[in-house]
Amino acid sequence: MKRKIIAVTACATGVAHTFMAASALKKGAKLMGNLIKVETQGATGVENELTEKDVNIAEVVIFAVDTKVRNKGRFDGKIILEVPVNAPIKNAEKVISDALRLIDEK
Amino acid sequence: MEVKDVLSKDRIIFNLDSDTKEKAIVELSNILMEQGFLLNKDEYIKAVLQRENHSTTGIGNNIAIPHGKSNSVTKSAIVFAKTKKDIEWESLDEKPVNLIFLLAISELDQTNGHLRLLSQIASKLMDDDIVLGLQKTQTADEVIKIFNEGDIEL
Amino acid sequence: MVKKIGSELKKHVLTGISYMIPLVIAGAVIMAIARVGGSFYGITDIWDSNYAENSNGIIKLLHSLDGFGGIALGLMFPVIAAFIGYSIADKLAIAPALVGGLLAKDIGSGFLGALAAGLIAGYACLLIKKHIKLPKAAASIVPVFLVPVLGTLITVLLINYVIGIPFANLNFGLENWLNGLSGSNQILMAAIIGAMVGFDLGGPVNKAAVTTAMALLASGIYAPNTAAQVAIIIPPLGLGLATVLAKRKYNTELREAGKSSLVMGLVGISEGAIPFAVESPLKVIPATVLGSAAGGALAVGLGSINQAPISGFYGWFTIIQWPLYILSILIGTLIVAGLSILLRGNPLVVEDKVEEDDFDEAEWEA
Repeated sequence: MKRKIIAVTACATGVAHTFMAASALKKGAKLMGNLIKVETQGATGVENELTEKDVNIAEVVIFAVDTKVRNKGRFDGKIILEVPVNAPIKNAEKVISDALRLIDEK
Repeated sequence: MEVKDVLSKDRIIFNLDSDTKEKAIVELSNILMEQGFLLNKDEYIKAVLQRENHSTTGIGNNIAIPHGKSNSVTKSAIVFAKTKKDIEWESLDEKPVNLIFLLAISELDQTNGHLRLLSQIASKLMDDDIVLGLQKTQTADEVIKIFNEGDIEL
Repeated sequence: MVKKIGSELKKHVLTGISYMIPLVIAGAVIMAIARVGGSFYGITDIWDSNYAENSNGIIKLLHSLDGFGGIALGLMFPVIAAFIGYSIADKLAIAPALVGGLLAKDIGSGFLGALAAGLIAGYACLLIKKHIKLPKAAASIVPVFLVPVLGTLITVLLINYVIGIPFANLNFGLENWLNGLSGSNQILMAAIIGAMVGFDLGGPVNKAAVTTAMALLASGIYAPNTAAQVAIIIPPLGLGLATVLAKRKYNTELREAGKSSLVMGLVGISEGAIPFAVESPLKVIPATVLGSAAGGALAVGLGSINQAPISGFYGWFTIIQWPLYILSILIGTLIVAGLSILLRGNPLVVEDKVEEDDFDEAEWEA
């Protein structure tokens, strides 16, 4: 069974790390055989915006951010792992398994 | 919108001499200044170093992407350099750096395609095959080709 | 300057190819279904008009399917011409190029003729639009009347009277030459036939060799046919294999073309190799010529005999000495794959692995 994850990435400048982190998370999830949807909040605006449905479907939320998450209220009641935007760039699989552990240990 | 709009051949440098992070940033900023992308070089360099202090831009795989966003940047652009020597960059994977992408980000063109292009180039650096290809390049054309072939469409 | 024109031409031709590929895939797969289906009934010439009135409904259907696939494949040439024209001069050139492409097909000038039709139509329309200036009140006559009429006339006249004659002559001369050769050294002749078949992949040189070889069957001469049938399927198989072995060297479009090329090869359609030959002829044609020549010569030299004008896999087991025949195909295929990979140079072309597009929305919502 594939695990389902959503994530939001954002960095201070909103040009480089936001998108590298998103790409690293997607790659990591794929390698692990999981499904992930990633919303990027960068200088060009919000892309791949997560819908209410996505939020309902996902088991866990990852914030890989160095700034405030926009429209954070959407995720109320979900289990959230917040890490610096550099964390998935360094090791995305670790970030994803940390997030999954949060729910598994609950 | 194409890769060469932000990364043109005359901003691709092989054999950069600098041996520290700071020297490399200054050296590459000079190129941006000469080509008219900066109104005020010192202000731009300050922005880049501030970003470095916040957290490292050494993203691993021997790559660093220092960047500065400032209203002294007239138009968003990239300078790419391969260094002669490895440079210490406090990278996420603790490896030294020999590929540097210096991004100049303009405050003026927030919604413009240049930023999006910069983002796409950055996210491509997460792909091991692209990095491997970059390490092998010997000419500016090859560098541009690598980013072009990966379907950057706008 | 020359380089710029070259890259311009290449861009237009590639645009044409990209519009043509779906047709080739549709046609080839439908034909393959018909031919493989026919082989279950022991029928190896399902396209023969006898089957149109067969008492078995399925055989009738298979016969029609082969025809439908043929319709799709027949559109290849008009469509590639039309979209080469479109790439050069926008929608103005579509009509003239469409007509020119169809004419090129009808006079047997193959894919080179179709390319020429597209290019002629495109540039003719562009020139007319640019250089014919009418007073403002009459200006709208240029796009609605002058361009279609003049553009089409220029295209069909050039194709019919300038491009068509050398190709037709080529065809005729080659037939004579081949007939004279058949008595002499069989292996050398097999190699030559193989080389011709591999040279323009369904174009006039290829068709000259194949039709001559088939014609000789009637007189009980099987060697040319054996060589030709082996040579027909080696280029599509070899190039398809190359895209599998050296993925990095081919873009997504060519990799897709490679898959359909393998299928087309197995059912005996050498046109599967055309996208590759058009994209970089100098790197592909030497490989297909050598591979087909070697395969043809080997098959004949090893003594296998194919008495039917069938190159697809469903015909392989009716061949005398079929294991050696298949071995020859394999060797030729490997030569084409190896050489074309080698000629293609270093894989600097690093492609994005599709990461975003393969997200399965249904799986996510399940």
